[in-house]
Amino acid sequence: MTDGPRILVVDDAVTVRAFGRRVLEAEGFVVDEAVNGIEGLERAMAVPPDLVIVDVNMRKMDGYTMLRVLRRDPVLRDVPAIMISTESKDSDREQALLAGANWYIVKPPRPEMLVEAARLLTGRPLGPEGAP
Amino acid sequence: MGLVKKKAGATPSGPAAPDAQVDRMADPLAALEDADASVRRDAAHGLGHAAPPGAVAALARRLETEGDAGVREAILTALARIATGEAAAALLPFLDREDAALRNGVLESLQQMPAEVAAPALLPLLGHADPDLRIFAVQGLGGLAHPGRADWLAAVMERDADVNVGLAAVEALAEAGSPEALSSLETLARRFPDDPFVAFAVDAARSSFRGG
Amino acid sequence: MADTEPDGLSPEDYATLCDFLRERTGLSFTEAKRYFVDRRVAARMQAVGATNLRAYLNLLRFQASGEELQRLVNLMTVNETYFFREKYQFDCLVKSALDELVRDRPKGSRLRIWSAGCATGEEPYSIAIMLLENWGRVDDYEIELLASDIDSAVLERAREGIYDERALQGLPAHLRAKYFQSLRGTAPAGGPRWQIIEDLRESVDFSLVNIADPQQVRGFRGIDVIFCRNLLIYFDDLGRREAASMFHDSLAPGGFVCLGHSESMSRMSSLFVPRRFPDAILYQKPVDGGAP
Repeated sequence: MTDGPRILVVDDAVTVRAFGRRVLEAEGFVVDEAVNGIEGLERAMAVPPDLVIVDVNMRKMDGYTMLRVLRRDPVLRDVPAIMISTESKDSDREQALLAGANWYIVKPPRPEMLVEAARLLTGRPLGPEGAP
Repeated sequence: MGLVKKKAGATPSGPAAPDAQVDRMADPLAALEDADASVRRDAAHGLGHAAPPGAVAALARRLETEGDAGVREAILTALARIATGEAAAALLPFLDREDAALRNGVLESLQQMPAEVAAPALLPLLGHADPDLRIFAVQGLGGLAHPGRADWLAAVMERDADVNVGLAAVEALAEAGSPEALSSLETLARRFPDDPFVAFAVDAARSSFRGG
Repeated sequence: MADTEPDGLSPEDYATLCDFLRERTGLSFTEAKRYFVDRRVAARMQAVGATNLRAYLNLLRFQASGEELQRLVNLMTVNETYFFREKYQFDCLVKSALDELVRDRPKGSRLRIWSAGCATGEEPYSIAIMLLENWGRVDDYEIELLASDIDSAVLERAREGIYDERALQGLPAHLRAKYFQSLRGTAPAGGPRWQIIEDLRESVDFSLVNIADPQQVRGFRGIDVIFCRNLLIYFDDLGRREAASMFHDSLAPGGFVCLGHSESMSRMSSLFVPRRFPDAILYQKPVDGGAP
């Protein structure tokens, strides 16, 4: 049960981290958490994840900065990333993609969208037949 | 080569600062505009600990254009250290900057000020037209040890039109809340009945202070 | 003694707290550690204004930053300084970090290592021994070892370099023979005394520095590695942020900060990027000197 794809949820909101864990673990993903970009990088460097889900506004290190560092890291540069934010303007999406995000989700997250994006980006087949 | 030996009889005072740098520090307000980033950083740090008249305005002005991350951080900690109403007000305009690192550093500085200084600065932002600024206000206020905190958060949950602003208040309660907040939490849940995340977050906040 | 402490924890409280700490941190405290734990918890409860253990436990559990838990844990684990403490970080220095730092530097250039909050000197002397013993390129560079503390009494002891058996427990016998000489007389705690050989004592430049005072830190420039382990736990949020900012300024671009095992830059400052090496995580000032 610990062999599902690993997802690292980086958000300073405990409710968002807990929600991500609840929704994604139910789908067989293995979930790890971090409270800001620095801790996110530390976790990712310790155990490279198959996907990161990163909030934008966090103290100490914001999500854009974390993604830029991630994209420069020789081991982690290809880890797919979902950026998740309360900000829904086109310019916010653009900034996320420029920083290296592969997907953009506007808060509050809908469980089915989170799962769908996670499945797509980790290469896990869609639908229940993809479950282990 | 290898390990460098101390010179016999040398005074044990640590490495000395370059003289020129010490001279320039005689006028910290001017040093804040020095070409050398290290001098600017020291000036900012010094102003945080002994702020002459005009220090806040000079720091805020420098923050507008400062490109060096270290100097910027020194300005942000200096303003947090000065912690007057003027310093808090000087930080507010930077909260809606495009640069995410800057706006988050600014919020952190506001959070590091005493509650009686940060609260009056942040409260008006609860009425701002931009929900992202209201979220910052809730996050800032939610972290303060202030007698008004519970009422502010309750009002946000009961009235703010943007679900994410209400959720920022829920988040603050999940970190530190009390059963008095229950009815406002339930109001929020009723206002956004079709949102599974709202239901989850309200539940999490509720159980954090019930179960704790 | 414990029974004269008016605010000591009840047996139930003590058990609750120990369970919590074990679950969250892996640290375990037996009844024998009761007095030690009591005093530290009482000090922290007073510092944060918690009137009872329940309130304090709630803070430990739910504080988003995890800061108070970290502070308590550190308090429970410090005061135990000895040679080669948290050796994996010194391993990281000699196996990875230094090689990276000197990659583009010609032989003969200078390397500066600063032990900030060096207390009685075990840390800087450990670094010196590690360099001499385990870094193959030690003779190719001029290595300056700086050490500072805010406490003049401990610095005096650091300069003397006299230690008891307990401080040396982590040292293999051949290193003890090579870098220490045994002294006559017994240590205050009983047992033999050892002194660092003169050659090594001369290799560490000790100075009295309050790292919260920018004037005093101003001379520390172009540093390549800063060891600052279990020191910033005594600072508040803002003080830690300021100290990290000062370290950032003291470091040369690409320089490293090394924190204690239970500390993380993710609670302190936005200026550094974590770097994972095989032996440890260090925090690096970006090579271009700018923002991460």
